[in-house]
Amino acid sequence: MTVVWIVVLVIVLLLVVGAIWAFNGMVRRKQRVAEAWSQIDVELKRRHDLIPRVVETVKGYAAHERGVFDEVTQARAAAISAGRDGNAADVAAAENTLSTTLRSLFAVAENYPALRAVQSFLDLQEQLMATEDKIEYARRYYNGSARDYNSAIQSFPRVLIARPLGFTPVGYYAGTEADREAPAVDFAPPPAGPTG
Amino acid sequence: MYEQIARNKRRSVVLVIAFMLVWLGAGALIGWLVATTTHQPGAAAPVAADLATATAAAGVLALLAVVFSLTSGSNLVLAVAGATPADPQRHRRVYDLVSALAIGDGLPMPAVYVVDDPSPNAFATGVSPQRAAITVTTGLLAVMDREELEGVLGHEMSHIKNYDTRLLLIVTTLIGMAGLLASVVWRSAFFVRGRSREGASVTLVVLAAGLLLAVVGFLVGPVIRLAVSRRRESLADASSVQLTRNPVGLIRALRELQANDRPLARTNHATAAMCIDDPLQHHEGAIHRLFDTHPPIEERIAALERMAEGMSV
Repeated sequence: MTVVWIVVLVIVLLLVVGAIWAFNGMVRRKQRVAEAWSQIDVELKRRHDLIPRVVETVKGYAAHERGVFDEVTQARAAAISAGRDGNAADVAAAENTLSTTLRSLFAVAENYPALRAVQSFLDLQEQLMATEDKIEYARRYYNGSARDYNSAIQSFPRVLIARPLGFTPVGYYAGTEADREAPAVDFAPPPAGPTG
Repeated sequence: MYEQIARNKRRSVVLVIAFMLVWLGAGALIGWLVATTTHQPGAAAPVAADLATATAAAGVLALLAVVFSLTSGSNLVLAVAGATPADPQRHRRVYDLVSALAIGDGLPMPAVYVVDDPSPNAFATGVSPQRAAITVTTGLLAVMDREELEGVLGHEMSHIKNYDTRLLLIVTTLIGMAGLLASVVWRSAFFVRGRSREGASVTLVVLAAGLLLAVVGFLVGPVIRLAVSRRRESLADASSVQLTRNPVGLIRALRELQANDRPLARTNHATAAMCIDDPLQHHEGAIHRLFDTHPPIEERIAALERMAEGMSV
C-alpha cells in the first residue's frame, strides 16, 4: 500500500516540477517577445519624431505639394494611434502605410535639386533611413521571438497549461515588402582542402 | 548554434583551468629546482618550503593573469591594435549599422572602434556580448558601401554572439602571459647559476627553461589555431547572412577584401584570428596554409554563393 502511495507521490512531484519548468520557459519567452516589441516601439517613436521635421524641411522648398504632406501627416497620426493599442498586426499595417507615403514624399523631394543640396535635409534623410534599418532588424528579431514563443505555448505538453495560465499567441509584425526569406544556412564544414 | 555557444563557453573554462595548472606546475618546478640547487642535499624541510612558496606565488600570478584577461583583456587587444573609439558623428554609418545588427540579434550594442590603417579589415573582441567591441580600419570604411559593410559587421556580430570573442580573448592573453612565464623561468635559471656550484643542476635548469620557452614559442600559433578552427570563420559568415538576409553584401565585401589584399601594419598572432580577413596574408603553399587562421576567401565566397542560390529558388 505504501509503495503505491510513494509511486503516486513521485509522479505528482514530477508533474509539478515539469509544470514549473514549462511555466518558466514560457515566461522567459514571453519576456523576450515583450523586450523585442519595446525595441520596435523605440525605433517607431524615433521615426514619428523625425517625420514632422522632414515634412517641414520639404515644405520650405515645395510648399504647393500639399497632398503628399497631408498624406504623410495623416498616416503618421494613424500609426501613432495604432501604436497605443499595441496590436502587432495593426501597428504593422499602419506603419507600412506610413512607409509608403514617406517614399512618395522622398520621390517628390527628388524633383527639387535645391532641397537635395541642403545639408540638414540630407542628415534627416540619413537618420530616417538608419531608423528604418533598425525597425527592420527589430521587426525580424521580434518575429523570431514571437515564433519561438507561439510554438512553445502550442506544443505538447505546454499547451495543456498555457491557456489556463493566460499565455495566448502573439501576432507577427508583417514587413512592407514580401518578407525576404530566411536563408537556408549551410553550417556544414567547407570541402576539405589539401591540408584539411 | 546553441551547441556552438555552449562549446565555446566550455572551452573557455577548460583553457582557464589548464592555464592555471600549467602555472602551478611551472611554479612547483622552479621551487624544486631552486631548492635542490641552493640547499645541501638531505635537508628535506627547506625543499618543501621552497616548493610551497614557488607554487603559491605561481598560483597568485596565474589568478592575477586570469582576472586581468577577463577584465581588461579586450582593452589590451584594442590598444595593441592601435584602435581608438569611433566618433559617433564622423562614423555614423558604422554606428547605425552596428546598432541595427545588435537589435537584430537581441544583444546590447557593442562599442565601436576605428584603426587608422589603409588595409581593409575588421575584428571583434570582448569577454561577453555585454562587454564587446567591434573594430574597423579606415581602409575598410573607404572601400565598402553600406551593403558590404553590413555583411562584414554582421560577421563580427556573430563572433560576439557565438562567444568566439571570449574564447579567443582568453587564449591570446593567457598565451601571451605564458610567454612571460617562460622568460621568467629563463631568468631564474641564470639567477640559480649565480649561487650554485653544482654544474649538473645548472644544466638541468637551463635545459628545462629552454624547453619551456621552445614549447611556448612553438605552441602560440597552433594553440590559437586549435581553439579557433577555421570552420568558425565559415560559421560566422553563415550567421552574418542569417542576420542580414543578404548573402550578396558579404560576397561583395569578401571580393573587395580579396582585391585589396595587403597586410595590416599593427598585427600579430593574437589579433590575426579575430579579423574578418587574415591580416598576415600567407596563403601560398601547403605549409603556410597549415598555419592560416582563415579559410581561403574563394572557399568562403563559394559557400556564400551556395547559400544565395538556396535563397532564390
